Amino acid sequence: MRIPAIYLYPALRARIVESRGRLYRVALAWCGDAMLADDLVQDTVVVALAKLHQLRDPQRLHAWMWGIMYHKWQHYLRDRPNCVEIDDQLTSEDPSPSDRYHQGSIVDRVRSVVSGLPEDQRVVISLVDLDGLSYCEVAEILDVPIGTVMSRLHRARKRFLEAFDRETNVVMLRVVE
Amino acid sequence: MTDDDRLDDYTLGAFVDGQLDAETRQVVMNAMRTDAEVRDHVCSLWKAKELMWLGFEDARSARHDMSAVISPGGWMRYAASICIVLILGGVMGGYIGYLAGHSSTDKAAVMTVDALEKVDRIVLHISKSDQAQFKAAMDFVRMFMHEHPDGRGSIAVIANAGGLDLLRAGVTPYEQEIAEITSGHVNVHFIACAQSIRTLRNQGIEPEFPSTVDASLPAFDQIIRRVEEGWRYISVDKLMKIQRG
Repeated sequence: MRIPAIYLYPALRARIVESRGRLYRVALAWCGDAMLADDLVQDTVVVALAKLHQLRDPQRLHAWMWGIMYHKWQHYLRDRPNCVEIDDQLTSEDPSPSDRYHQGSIVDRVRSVVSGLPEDQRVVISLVDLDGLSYCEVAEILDVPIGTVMSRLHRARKRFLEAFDRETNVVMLRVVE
Repeated sequence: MTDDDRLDDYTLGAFVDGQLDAETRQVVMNAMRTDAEVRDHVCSLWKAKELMWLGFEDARSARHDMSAVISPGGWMRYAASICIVLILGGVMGGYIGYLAGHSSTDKAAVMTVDALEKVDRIVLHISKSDQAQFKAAMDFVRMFMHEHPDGRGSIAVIANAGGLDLLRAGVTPYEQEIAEITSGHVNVHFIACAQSIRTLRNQGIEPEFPSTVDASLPAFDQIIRRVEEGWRYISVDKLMKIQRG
């Protein structure tokens, strides 16, 4: 017999709050902005706590929360003013001097490259690589077929590696100079 | 379906993500042994995964005050027992295991008895010359020995690249301890990568190791063989991430 979620509230609430670190890591990958990632995580946690009674299967808590955060993120992308479609943008091959300075660390380079990925690819690669979700879980969260998850992931990694190597070469050239 | 048919980009991606069934996973592992192109491709995919993690592993919210979203009722006590479930990817096998634990002031407690009972044959891979990583590796070995006093489990510490320094005589601060452990525990193995040793020799460095350290094969072969036998792969990088919570 399934235990109704209401009896698990204290533990589930604790797990929701404890998930902030995981959520934030992925939110930052999605947004590329610390403040926005904070907002996204906080909104997600608030909604999850408020709608906990709607969670039918406590085992799916994390997938459920990812779904909430994904929809929050999609709402943000739709509603923000002067929205720029980044799907068609390539990672800059000619970074500004400021960008070059910040490209010094691997962390900065990775984040820069991730921010240049198309949004649909960025979402998938973040969920798989940063939170270790299965393809099935990601497909369920995004409401897309597993094949779509795999193709987005493949394109994301290909693009990621190409851009990362390109940025690394830029940094190495700068060092040589 | 031929083996080649299965080894498309998506399959190799699923391999590094631990999403394949046992049969297909074995096909990939066999191909990695014989096909340099497949091996390189898998390594590049793993590189992407590792870089992604590296880029965001330390991401922390600057906003600490989340109390506004926490309702009263004393359930904050649960926050003191943070459950860590971190997917660990195998560098070669795409094998995924997990360690679950409860954080506390004692970071070593992350490696709980429960976790170790589930994963009693472990490949611990270290590839960096870093004192913190050395300590984490040795702490893990000690913990493993403590949890397996009967010698039933096995752990193999496999060092390559900079990680060789953990095992090098005259370099490692753990030289005596490693010698004592290996002489007293048949289920603990310290292994130095033969390929990395060759690299050092090519640089004019002649590394020396305690006699109990196995330096017969490249790390790749050592890891693959064990993973095929069902050992769980854990990198010290990931181990430290777990410890940090």
